[in-house]
Amino acid sequence: MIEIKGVQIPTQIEDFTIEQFESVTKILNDQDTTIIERYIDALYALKLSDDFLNDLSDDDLFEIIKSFQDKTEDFKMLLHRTLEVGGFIYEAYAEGEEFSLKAKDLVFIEKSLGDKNNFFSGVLAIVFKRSDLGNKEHYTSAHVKHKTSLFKTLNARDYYPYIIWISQKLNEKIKTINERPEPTPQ
Amino acid sequence: MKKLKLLMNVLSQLPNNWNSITVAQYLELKSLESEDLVGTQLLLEQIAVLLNTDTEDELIDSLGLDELFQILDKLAFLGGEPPSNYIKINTELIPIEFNELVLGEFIDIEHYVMDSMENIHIILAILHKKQGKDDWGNSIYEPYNYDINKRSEEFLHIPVTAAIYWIRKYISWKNEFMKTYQNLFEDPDVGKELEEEEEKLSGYDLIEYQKTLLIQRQKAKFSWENTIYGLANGDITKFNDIFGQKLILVFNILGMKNAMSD
Repeated sequence: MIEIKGVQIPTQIEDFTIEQFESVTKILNDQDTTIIERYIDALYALKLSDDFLNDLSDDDLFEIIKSFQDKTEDFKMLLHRTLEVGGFIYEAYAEGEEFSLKAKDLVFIEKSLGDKNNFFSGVLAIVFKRSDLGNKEHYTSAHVKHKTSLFKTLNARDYYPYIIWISQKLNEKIKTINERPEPTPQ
Repeated sequence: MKKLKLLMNVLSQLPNNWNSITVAQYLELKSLESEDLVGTQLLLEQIAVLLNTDTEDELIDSLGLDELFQILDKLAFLGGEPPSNYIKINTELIPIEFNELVLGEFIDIEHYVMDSMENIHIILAILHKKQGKDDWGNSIYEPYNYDINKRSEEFLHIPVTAAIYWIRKYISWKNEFMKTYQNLFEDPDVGKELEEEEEKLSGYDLIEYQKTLLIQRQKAKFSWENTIYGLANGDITKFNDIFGQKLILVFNILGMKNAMSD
């Protein structure tokens, strides 16, 4: 978080909701605009007031950009087992067990990762299952969509370890596959 | 322990190579390609096909990520094309000598071979026949009046590699055969060289050119119909007789007619 002219501006992952994080990430990765344009668009996406943005000086803007680019301290890979939203408990894994993914989860996660607007909330919607619902309900499109929308209000930093865990796991597996010897001809 | 048991169960049921995949499974795997499936979803569908089940099956539903990647490793061979492998495939149906093909069979195979991998079982149904003896004790093939779609079902359960062996063998024979009779057929690209001339023409020359091009294209489009029509002297009641004639005989006659008209 950086304060400019008395306004608090979120610039680090712990400052963002998942919705803000998805939105800012999408804008900052837009290769069709210049770097300065991307940061200005990001500030608009964070819903800062027009008055504040119109009065922003070059120096202020560079301070904000610098703050965005400051390296976040290393993540503690804490994978929260449960979360509560709207009076319901959602579970990522059972008590006493370690987090793991099912192949079926990966089908949905791959789709979410390809969706720039929901790449974070969509993944969490698959990872976290409502404890009072069965397996079938968990994967229904309407339910996943509902959760995707609900989880956008969560703090990005708290749940980002799941994104890191999944990315690392997939990269590790892809590396293993790429490194295996070519199959011998039949 | 439960997970390991599940993995061992799935791995033991999955094929190790193309030889263990049937034509029916291969056709299903091919059909997945047209469904725009990618990544894990495609892999789960492939696993379901190979286990003769669907993706809602509890076995597939309970697969974890680690198991999935072990399966992916085992099924890496699906990324390539199936090879050809000779296996005797049916005790009752005999592969026919290609030189014994009749014209109707040849025309049908040529039609199906355009999408040979989708029609692999139908082509095999034409290339395999029951054999019997005539009144004089000579071996003869059954006539080509059986239902090829029904017959093709018998080839759905053979290894796809064995099916490919026969398709490749047929194509290689056909290429040699066509070389012998290449002067009988219109070039499918007929008129292409004329097309390039079109811009240089005008007036009457252009009209004449377009008329010639149209006739050539119609001939190419209806080449089989045109050939049979000519052999039957325009009598459509004789078409079936001509379809039942040995391919080599028909082509020899066509060659003779061609030589005489030159």
